Amino acid sequence: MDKKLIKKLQRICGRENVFSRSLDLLLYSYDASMEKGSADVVVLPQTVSQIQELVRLAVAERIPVIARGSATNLSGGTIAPQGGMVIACTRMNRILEINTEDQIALVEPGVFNLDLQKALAEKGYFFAPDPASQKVSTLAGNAAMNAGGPHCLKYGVTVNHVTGLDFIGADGELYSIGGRTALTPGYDLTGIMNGSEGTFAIITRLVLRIMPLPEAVSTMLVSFADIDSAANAVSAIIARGIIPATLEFMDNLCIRTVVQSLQVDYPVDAAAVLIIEIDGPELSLASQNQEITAICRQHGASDVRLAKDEAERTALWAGRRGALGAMTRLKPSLVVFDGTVPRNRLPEALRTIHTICHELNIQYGTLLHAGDGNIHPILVYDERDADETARIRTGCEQIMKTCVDLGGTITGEHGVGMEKMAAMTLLFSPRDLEAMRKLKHVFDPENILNPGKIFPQLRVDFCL
Amino acid sequence: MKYNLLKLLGDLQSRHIYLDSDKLAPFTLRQTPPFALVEPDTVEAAVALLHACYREKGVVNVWGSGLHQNIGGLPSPFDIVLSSRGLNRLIEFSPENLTITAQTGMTLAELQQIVTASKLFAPLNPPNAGHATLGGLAAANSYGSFIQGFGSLRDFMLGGKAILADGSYIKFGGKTVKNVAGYDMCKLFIGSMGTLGLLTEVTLKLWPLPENIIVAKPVVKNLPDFENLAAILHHKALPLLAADCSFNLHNGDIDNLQLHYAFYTTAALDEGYLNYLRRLFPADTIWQKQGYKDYQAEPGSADNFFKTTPHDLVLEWIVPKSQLFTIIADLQQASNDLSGAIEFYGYPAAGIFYNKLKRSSFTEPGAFALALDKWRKKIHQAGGFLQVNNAPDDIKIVIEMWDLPPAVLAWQKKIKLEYDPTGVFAGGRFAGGI
Repeated sequence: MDKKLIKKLQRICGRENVFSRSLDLLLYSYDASMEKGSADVVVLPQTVSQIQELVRLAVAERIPVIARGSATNLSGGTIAPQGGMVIACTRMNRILEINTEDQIALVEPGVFNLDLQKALAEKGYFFAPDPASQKVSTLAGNAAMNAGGPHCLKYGVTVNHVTGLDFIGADGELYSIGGRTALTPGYDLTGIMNGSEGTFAIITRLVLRIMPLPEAVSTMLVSFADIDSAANAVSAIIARGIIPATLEFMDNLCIRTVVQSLQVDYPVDAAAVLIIEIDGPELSLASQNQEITAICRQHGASDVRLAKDEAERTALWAGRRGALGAMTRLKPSLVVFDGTVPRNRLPEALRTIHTICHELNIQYGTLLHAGDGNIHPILVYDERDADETARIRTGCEQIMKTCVDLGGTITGEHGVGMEKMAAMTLLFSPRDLEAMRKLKHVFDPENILNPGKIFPQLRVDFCL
Repeated sequence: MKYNLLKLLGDLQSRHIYLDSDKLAPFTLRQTPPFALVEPDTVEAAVALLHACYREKGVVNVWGSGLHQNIGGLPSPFDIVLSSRGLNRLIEFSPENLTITAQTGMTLAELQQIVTASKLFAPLNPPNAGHATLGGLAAANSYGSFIQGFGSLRDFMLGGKAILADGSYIKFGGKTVKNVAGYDMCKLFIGSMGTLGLLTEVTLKLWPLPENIIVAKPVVKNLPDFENLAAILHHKALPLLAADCSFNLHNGDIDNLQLHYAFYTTAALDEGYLNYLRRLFPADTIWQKQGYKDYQAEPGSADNFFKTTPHDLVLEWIVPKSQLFTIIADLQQASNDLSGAIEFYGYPAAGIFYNKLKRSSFTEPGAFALALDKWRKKIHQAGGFLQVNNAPDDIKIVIEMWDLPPAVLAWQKKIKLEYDPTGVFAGGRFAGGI
């Protein structure tokens, strides 16, 4: 990048917050996906006005701008495929206000999800979206990708918990939309902004809906001798009218890997386990636990283990939350797929994924947010092995097509990013995509913000 | 102009075009009936109509049951009423997945009948809206007291299909709860008042029908008692289905304060749970246990409140929850200046309240405009919004019915221009004349 431009950036953000050496850029050239791409410069602003100046400069110089949090996204959403400027908001990480009377939290974009959860828990509150990456994923990143997490089954995804936003638009202006109220009049700009993957604006502040912690929580680990039975039990629980707070699934490879890696007490001989958590008034839990246990037994559960206290509950969750990291022990690289199918198609989806991976000789384990039908096959490989990498890409494509064929979607919570751009045509016609493109054109007519994402690169001209 | 429209309609060769005055009379707005009523029964016919309008510069007003047609400002002139009632088919009901997909001409009552037979429900209960169409409900983002337990349509519409102004037929979202493939276009259409496209199909997330409902009717004599109770309930994670509050305000005095809370439970929980709730409510609270059907069948005071005449003014204000009682107190003060009573109806757990006033409370429209301006300032200071949902035409002319910050309105105009550059979908009623 031009040295004069670097100087300008340094004047805006300070020398210590601008990085352009190749080693520094390398560190920002990847995220949690398979995608790679190096920016020309990385800046770490600390104020809203600095972001504003950065965007204005980028617009003037026609430089792509890629907003970035912790880059835990699993879709290449924060990669810079066309170079440009990465604006990493991780240093804007203050919780500005927790207001339990209004039941909102006001935060800067770079606050980690878990940091907010900890602060809220002290006041008897929580923020429902809890992606597995919550230890380090930022709240603006959660909103940009409309993140989910286990508790979304009962409480909804991020968009259901964001009531307002401040953002810097592609014109460098600061805007404020939504607010502290349950609803705001007019087109739902806050809703539209969630899940737009940084292609509309750079989020600089969020108003989040927070909820009182449930009075009591109960967690159980249920073991099954075969995968179909576990998947069928999931549908049966929901069909009974019980919406657990979480309903998570792990297959045998994931179980064995977390046992080896994290020394958790999971049944290594089980084909699958479900982690089922319910919450609510204390006296409501026992009867629900009995009902869930009975349903699981009817569907062939071999063991049902109820956490007796908070320590046991934490131990049960440790395996699930650590599963992704643990799987990296198997091979140096992994890709986590994120398709979603209607819940009653889960058994079929799991069987097809098994066949695909078996035929392509791919080692994989499966995690599911089973209650949502959200499938996370974790495909492990060595990216230095070109043949294996090619097979992985083929496997991903086939799995996405399977999910669409079963009435589902290519991504439930990880986003499209670069990884699934081509697969958007499995779901959407050129006209559907053109309708989305109109929205992009409203917010970012010059395509400055996070270009090269979401839309298939081959533009199909709209025709009546 | 009418020659072109005749040609346009003739080209469609549809069986569902009506030009006779008795058919058109019910669709009269601002004393002017439309030139034609078109009620397509296929998506293809609706596409053809909108495509033709785009080409010939025809203007359509989308019409479901008509329930929401009086909301907002005065409508701009339009040529054709596009009725969605012919598009009323059930596309897919999947009880196992807790989803239903239906065309938008289906009414809410029809939908609820289908899903409650499988012990499911869509938690949507706008007053008097049983015969409202799904399209109308989505366009107006209508809600009732269930918003406090389940959110609004914004929170449980998963996907849909729409015809845009140029006649292009698009789909968006999907049929799964989690879906981030592309932009969330559902959010674009919900609450857009039919200004961006004709929504033809929606997929909604459903919930298990509550097995039992515990109703609490606390006897509170004054606002401080209500405020104390609200404070106790506020920080509890309760399975709230709905909370309704109503009272009248006249010359600063509050009377007929009624509270009605409903909690959902399973049959097995009733006794223990009732005991748990009893501890939170005043001792003289009246308790009832009902099945969902009985609960729904009870004549609601919300229905009565929202039965309005052309002379009624209905204001809706939404404030941060902590500001609710401050604003009520402010309005209590303001009521001294009015000759008539103000009726209040609200969903206190969501910070949403409505006021109904008689047109006769104000000598002239300008007096109401001044009072509105004063109230809006107070509500803005509290971080909220105040809009006027219903008003007589002489009032509509002098006020802005909607309450949008200028920057938001600017974005809204850009979006409208992008999706409907020639103004196929009738404007006027929405914010800024959109």
